Amino acid sequence: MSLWADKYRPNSLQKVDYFQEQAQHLTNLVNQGDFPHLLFYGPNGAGKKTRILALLRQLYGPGVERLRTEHMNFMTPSNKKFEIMTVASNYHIEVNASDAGMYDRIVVMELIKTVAQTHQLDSTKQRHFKVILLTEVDRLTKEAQQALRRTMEKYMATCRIILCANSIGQVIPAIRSRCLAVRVPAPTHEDICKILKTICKKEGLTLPDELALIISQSCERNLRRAILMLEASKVKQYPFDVKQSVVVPDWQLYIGDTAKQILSQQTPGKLLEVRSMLYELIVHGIPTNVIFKFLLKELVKNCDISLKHDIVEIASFYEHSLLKGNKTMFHLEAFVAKFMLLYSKFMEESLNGIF
Amino acid sequence: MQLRRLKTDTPREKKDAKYYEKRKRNNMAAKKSREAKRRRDNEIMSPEKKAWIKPSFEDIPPTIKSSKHTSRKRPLTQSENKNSDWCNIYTPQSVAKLAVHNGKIKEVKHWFENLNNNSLVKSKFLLVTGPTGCAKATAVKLIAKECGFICLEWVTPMTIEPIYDQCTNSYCYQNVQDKFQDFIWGATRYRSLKCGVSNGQFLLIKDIPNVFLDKPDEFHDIMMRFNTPSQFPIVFIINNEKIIRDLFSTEILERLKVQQIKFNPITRKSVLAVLEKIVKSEQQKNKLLRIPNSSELNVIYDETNGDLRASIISLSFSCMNIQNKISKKCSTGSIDESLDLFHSIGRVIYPKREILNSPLQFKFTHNPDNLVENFAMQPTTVLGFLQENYLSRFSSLTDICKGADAISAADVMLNSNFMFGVSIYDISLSSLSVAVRGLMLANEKPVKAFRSIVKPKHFQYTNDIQMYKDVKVWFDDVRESPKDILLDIIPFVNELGTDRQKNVAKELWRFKRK
Repeated sequence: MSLWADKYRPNSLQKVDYFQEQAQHLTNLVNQGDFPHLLFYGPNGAGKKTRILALLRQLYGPGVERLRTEHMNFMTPSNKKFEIMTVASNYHIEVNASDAGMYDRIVVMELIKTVAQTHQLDSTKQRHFKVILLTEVDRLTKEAQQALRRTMEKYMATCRIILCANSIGQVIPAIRSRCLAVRVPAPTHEDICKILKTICKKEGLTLPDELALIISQSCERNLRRAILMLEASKVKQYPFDVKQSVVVPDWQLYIGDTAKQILSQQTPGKLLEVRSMLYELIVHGIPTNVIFKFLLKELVKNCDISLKHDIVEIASFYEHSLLKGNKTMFHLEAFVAKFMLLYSKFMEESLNGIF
Repeated sequence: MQLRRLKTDTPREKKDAKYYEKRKRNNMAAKKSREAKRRRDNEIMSPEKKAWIKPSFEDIPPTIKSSKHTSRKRPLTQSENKNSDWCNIYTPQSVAKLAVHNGKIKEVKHWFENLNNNSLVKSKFLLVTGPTGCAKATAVKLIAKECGFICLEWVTPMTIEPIYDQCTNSYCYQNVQDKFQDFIWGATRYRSLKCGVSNGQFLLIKDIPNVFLDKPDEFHDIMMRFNTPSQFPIVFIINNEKIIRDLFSTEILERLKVQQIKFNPITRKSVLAVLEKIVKSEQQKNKLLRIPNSSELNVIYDETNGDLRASIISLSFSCMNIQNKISKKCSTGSIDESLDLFHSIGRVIYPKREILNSPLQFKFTHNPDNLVENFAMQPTTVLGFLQENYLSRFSSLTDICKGADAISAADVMLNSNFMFGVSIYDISLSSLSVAVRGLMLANEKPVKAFRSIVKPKHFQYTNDIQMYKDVKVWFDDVRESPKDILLDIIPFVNELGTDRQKNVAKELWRFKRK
């Protein structure tokens, strides 16, 4: 399927729809011929990947877009083999090392070594370096990041590394200081509305302003999701109706259900039920920090104003330990337990106040 | 080149006392050097190294210990170190003195008696199992002696000596497995010269070579081949559950017609009787002996869990004439309580308290420190088990909060590897201690109902790699990362995807909402 999100992805830095000034800077950077390692960061669906690909195209020409997927094999110290999928063109290679879980260090080291040890074939026509694109750097283990930092310096002559992350809070300072950090913020609601409308115009559809606004508000400022929502709504019903319901991702609804369960009753038995619901979300591949964020949003929505402050405080505490720890589920559950306690106490007090 | 002095005859008149003294010393030195040379030669050309045929019996004498032989040796060790080796001194010398339950003795005796009368249903393998120190080997040896059998015991050789091969003029090594096989064949084919009068011999295998633990098939193979031609009885004595399971599966037990006799830990009564007897007889030898009172004897039994050998050793320790009383703490460390994982997790999630003076002052029946140290598993796994199981044992939400806090803190600690001067092992132990103590302290009123302990779901749910791979297989035309596909594209697949993708998504990624 050719999704609109792929179809209307701007393929050059001149064509991006927002933050044109930043795009201009990036163009200038590439036109100089050489650039340092880059670190793109920003929320999901803000256009990090789009900018990186456009940058590569600016650098190497359309040859970059001829992609092939390859499976690379690695060997752990305990002689266990595992496989990682990479996407590569003649000029660059893209890898998500955190797919390897605890063995990400080996991937980072081996991959950069193999790629960087070979020089570019025709260096007169092309650049003298290759590009390694590492995504989700913030999910790498500390060991892998340390390894990355060493290899980054060693192979500066033959390759440039572009890192892509959601936040730089989880990236070690040693890497941050070795890269030029480029922040790609989420587009504003107006930007999203504008983009949705241009897409509709190109497709030959008419989009009412109200619907564009509804979509832009329910997409969490995630452009990819906004475009997908638009396309899904179009498939569901066209011509568009202003009162038309927008397709909301079902995991988001499921988190809403979980929040309702938490609010309905505060007992150990309920907590057990909530735990199994949270596991259900994890099984479906929803990252724990996303679950945490939406759950908090839903819970706070239904709370008294005096309680909100406390709840956000405990949430920030457990979110911190979630990032520090390894088993994300433990912290999520601790947060739910704490919330239940606070909420039930508050309810009791307010009931006593009534009678 | 002249190294020696020229030989000169000394005139008789010059031969004085000093000269004779010199001659005598020279002769002595020459004799010593001749003897040394002879010894060296003998060493190289010793018969076992000269032989080019592998003499299978040459290996056996050091490994066979006939029971008579050991009994002769025993008084010698006794006189050498007087009161340290009580286990040896007080080994029972007759069946009547065994501390083992009478029923078990009868069973073993029955087996030996069956060997003699040619009944049809006889089995020539006996497998004796039971925990350490419950007098398995002693009982078998004594009963066999009474029934007139001679014991041949396999002892796994500690060192491997090379065998000289004259054909290739080199030394070759024989592996333990071959040795074991040779021993079994040799010992069972040919009768020992010593046993002219007795009814027969039997083979005692207490210590199975480690090679077979990895290759149970080889062991079975040897046993099968042995089974067919020979009538020779073999007794295995094993205390390790895992070895029993690996080497003697039920199928093997049936095929070889192995009779199994399971020994139990020795009862409190008999252990105490043995200990008291020892104390009494030691007292006659040594008046300075410290006499432990009955409560101390009981404590010894509690620590050793019916291990007779260990309890005799700790008795000899507590009987030493030391002025300051042995504090209880240092003696409890003598033996770790062997608990399995479920048992110790149960102790954490159903904490038992003993109230000391007031309700605020209490201690735990099971010391949290000991519990933490006795988990024989990785701390992360243990933590997973605790997290999975603690929730259903708590009765109030306040307590749960404290418990969940402890687990969350422990997980954070477990991951803080970058601490100077502290080993990862220490960190993991102390973080587990945080979790265990936190849970035990938080759970003020445990739920009394029984619930089985379940495996942590967390481990089976975090297999992201497999999930991402599946996603990529079905959405190979989408150029997003698998994580983004799961988050953003699959929710819209109903509207946008192909039929194939719709079906797969319905099966794999659809939420079951109520």
